[in-house]
Amino acid sequence: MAVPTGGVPPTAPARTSPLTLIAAGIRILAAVPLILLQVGLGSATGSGGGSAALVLGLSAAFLLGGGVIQGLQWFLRTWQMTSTELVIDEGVFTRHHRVVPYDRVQQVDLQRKLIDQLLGVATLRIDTAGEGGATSVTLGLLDLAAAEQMRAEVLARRSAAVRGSWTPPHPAEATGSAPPPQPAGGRPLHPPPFGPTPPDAPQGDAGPWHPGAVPGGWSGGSNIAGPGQPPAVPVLTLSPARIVVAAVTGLLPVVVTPLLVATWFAVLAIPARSGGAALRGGSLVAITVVAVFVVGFTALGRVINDWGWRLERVGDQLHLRAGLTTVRHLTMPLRRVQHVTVSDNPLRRALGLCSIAVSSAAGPGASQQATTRLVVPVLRTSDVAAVLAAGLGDGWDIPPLTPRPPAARARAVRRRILALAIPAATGAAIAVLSGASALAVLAALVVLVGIPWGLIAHRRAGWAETEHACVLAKGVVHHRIAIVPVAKVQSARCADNPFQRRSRLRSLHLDVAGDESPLTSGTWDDTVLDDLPDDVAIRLCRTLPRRSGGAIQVGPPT
Amino acid sequence: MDTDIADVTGGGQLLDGTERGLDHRIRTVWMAGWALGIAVGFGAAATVLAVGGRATAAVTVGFAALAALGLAGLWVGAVWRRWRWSAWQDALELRHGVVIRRQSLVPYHRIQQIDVERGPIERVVGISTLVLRTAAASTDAKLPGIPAAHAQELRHRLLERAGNDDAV
Repeated sequence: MAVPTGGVPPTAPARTSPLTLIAAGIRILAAVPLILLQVGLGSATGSGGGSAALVLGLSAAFLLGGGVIQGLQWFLRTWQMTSTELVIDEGVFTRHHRVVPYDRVQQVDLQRKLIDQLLGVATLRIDTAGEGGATSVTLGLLDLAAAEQMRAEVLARRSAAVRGSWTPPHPAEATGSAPPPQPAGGRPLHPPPFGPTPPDAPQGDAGPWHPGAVPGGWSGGSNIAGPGQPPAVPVLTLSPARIVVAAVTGLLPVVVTPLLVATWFAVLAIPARSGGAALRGGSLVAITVVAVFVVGFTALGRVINDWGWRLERVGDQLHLRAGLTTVRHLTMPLRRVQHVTVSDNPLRRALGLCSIAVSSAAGPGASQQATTRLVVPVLRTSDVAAVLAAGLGDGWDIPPLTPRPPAARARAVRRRILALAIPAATGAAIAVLSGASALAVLAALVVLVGIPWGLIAHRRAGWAETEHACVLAKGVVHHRIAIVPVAKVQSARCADNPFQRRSRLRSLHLDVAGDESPLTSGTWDDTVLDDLPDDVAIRLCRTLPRRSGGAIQVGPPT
Repeated sequence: MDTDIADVTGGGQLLDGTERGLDHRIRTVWMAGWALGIAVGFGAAATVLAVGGRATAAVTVGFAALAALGLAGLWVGAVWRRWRWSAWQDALELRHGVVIRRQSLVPYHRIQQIDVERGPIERVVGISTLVLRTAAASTDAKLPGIPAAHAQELRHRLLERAGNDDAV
């Protein structure tokens, strides 16, 4: 892509905040209590003063060496913003010269751990996409104001790289006193719902395209737009009560709690023969402990992670701020959104709640899922359309879904009965060997659960094709509706096995950018739907990718 | 310049959507892989049995290896017969698979890069594999059995159709 080279003044090379050294020092000093404990244990066990002195000496050398290296790393790490790219030079023994072109920037996030908040600093994380995969660079620690300024600069220059011009940040805009930008030349306020932003559409001209926040007490927020950015429009804010609701109605508590309750009653059924009472008491304590740890700590983690959750739209970007100990500032350009998944579970469905996951093309690594997926932890199902429209624009509505054919229903039941047959047979065999024939019958009857399971799965599955998107729905306990913009389909696949061929069914896979692995991203599976009619799957497979790009841009090989 | 890759196109235009099979030499490559696996697996078992003094069992394993080799040959033939690819004006379409039949379509404007891979057996028999990469890691776009002399030309022709943005 051609990148503008004029009009953007390069910044002078700069280092990160000197407070980086203090943070590093705190981390190093955190090892001191362990060292003292080691020395104390050595003295208590009578290992002699010689070994204690040795431990102290080695530890002091280790701490000193670590401090010197940290200092050198900070001194030798510089960054500079040129007209076309961010340049980072770093490394003590091996020097690295990293270049991040602005037009490859996918997301820019600010992260603030607890220690960062105490020191008034932040870490800037920039996700990029390139050939052969995605990557990221982090700059930490920066003064908070400098980090926010730099995030705004990077985003402004990324926008400039896309549209071919750059406007320096206006001081008045940084204070929020600038009037909101108005559309010029009759240009529509609404950005195109899907696809790349037209080169002639300034990134900040979206303006207050949504007149108000989402109703129902879920809105609020404040302007977190940086300098050079249009004003922020609140999309959704979650109150602490809603965050707690999100935590306790999440998939894990909903799945684990019934299992623990069932296990509890199964343990209560243990006959009180010799040793039975002790076994029962111990098992009940163990189950309670597991329940507290799994459900309680998971919910607590969600609350800490999502505390102060606030989603805003700034021009053509989504900004998310969330977190109690580690405050995340996630920025996701709308043009990088690849697909959206609306999901719920039986409890949330009963309460009229659901969640939304917005997946972007940035996929810096398996462990960084939180930065590649913007998740709305919970919202009313009735608010989904309003939130999607407020956050992403038009075209993301969920149309009425077409059910799969009757042959798919029979297959859904058969597959689930087969899936349950092996564990049911194993359980029945164990029960028979234990002499508990009643339990054996009960275990065998578990297979019958496959019938309602399959019927519900079939009823909840469906598909739809609109002008802008393909929608795939599936799942019973974790029901997901994936909205895949046609403009974002990279390629498509369909496959059938002999059983599907007999019923004239096929599975459809839509490949979108950023899907790294089903185990780590959790998104790969969302864009797959089994047992579509043969002709429908083939038609979608052959037409959707072709519709994704419009006219072919013929150019020289790269 | 379609005549430059006439062996690939069968003399026709490259981007006319004609359904094409793979070069027959790919069977040699696949068969070599199976033979190596069978030789290692059955060979290890036969060696252990022979060293343990169970010569009859070792010979039986040898015959089983030959039978497995025959089955592998049948399998490779079936896979080769099922493989089809079509180059359209706007996309590459692949169809393959014996038990699970797969069909995939990769539009050229989504191509990020195209790799030409040649393993040792492929180098010996003179063929290459084209790997089309998009921004989606799950894209299935590996086109084996392209004559090595024409792989670069085919890669060049497909890249000419690729978009010139980051295709994300």
